[in-house]
Amino acid sequence: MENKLYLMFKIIAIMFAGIAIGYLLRNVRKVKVVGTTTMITIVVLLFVMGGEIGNNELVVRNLVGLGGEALLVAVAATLGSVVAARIIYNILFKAKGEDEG
Amino acid sequence: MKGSLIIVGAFALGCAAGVLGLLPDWLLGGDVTMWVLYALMLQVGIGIGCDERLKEILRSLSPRLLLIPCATILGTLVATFAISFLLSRWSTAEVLAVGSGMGYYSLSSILVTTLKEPSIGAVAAAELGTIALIANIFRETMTLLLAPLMVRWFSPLAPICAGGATTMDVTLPIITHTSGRDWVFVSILHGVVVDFSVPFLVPLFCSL
Repeated sequence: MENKLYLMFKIIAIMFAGIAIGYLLRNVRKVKVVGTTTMITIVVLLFVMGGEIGNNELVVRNLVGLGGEALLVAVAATLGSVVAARIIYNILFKAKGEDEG
Repeated sequence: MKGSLIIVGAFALGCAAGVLGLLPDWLLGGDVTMWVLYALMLQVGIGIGCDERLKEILRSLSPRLLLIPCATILGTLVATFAISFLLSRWSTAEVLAVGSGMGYYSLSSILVTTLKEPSIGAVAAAELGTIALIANIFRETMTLLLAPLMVRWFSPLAPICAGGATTMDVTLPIITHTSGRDWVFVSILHGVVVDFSVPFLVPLFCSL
């Protein structure tokens, strides 16, 4: 957690390295399979992340008691931000009639 | 839609396997997650790099996009404020402290536990810290699992705002996948700004 900043820069650096590779290989047809492999990697990542949460005793043990309160806050925070997303999207992109793609 | 079912399925299977203790320790130390995330980011990068619209996407970046993280923070705080009246055990400021974790569960739970201890005692502070941990894990998880629906119902910006502080790392691949590659730099910018708000907002609400 104290090295989250480091992690963040590392992840972004790796992505930029990928962008450079992808740009150099943009005319190679095989590079397009990256869409499929990305999806497979996402599935693997979510499986492992699920495993970590399921294996976290603190979370599982408290899920019944504190989990309800936590769920309420999480749903509120998520709902509040997606509604805000809709509003800011309409202001920034819809009003100008831009195509966002 | 098939995509998000697969995502939810993989996650649920992982959870079940974790609870039942079926997974080996080497898989759960966090190292594997990191390496898979690195592999994912490399692939996301390659996908962006070979996208013909790369130059166009970069050209569309502008300072007014900073309004998006502001919307996330405002939307989160307004909704968390509203829900605080349903949580009678905790004060409004305490619920706001949990909500302003913005999905950054490791930092926010530690901040809440340590900063609340002098005022409400170690046990209550640990409970509130655990709520911060679980609530922010839920927020990240909901973003990962519901991103396709969010895009459909609330615009391509919805998973970005829902992802809060996680949109430049953990939720970035899902966002590029569901909102589209056009949004990747918006997502990173958003994640960085919201991320930096957490160490300010959580202590602020803990001190009220």
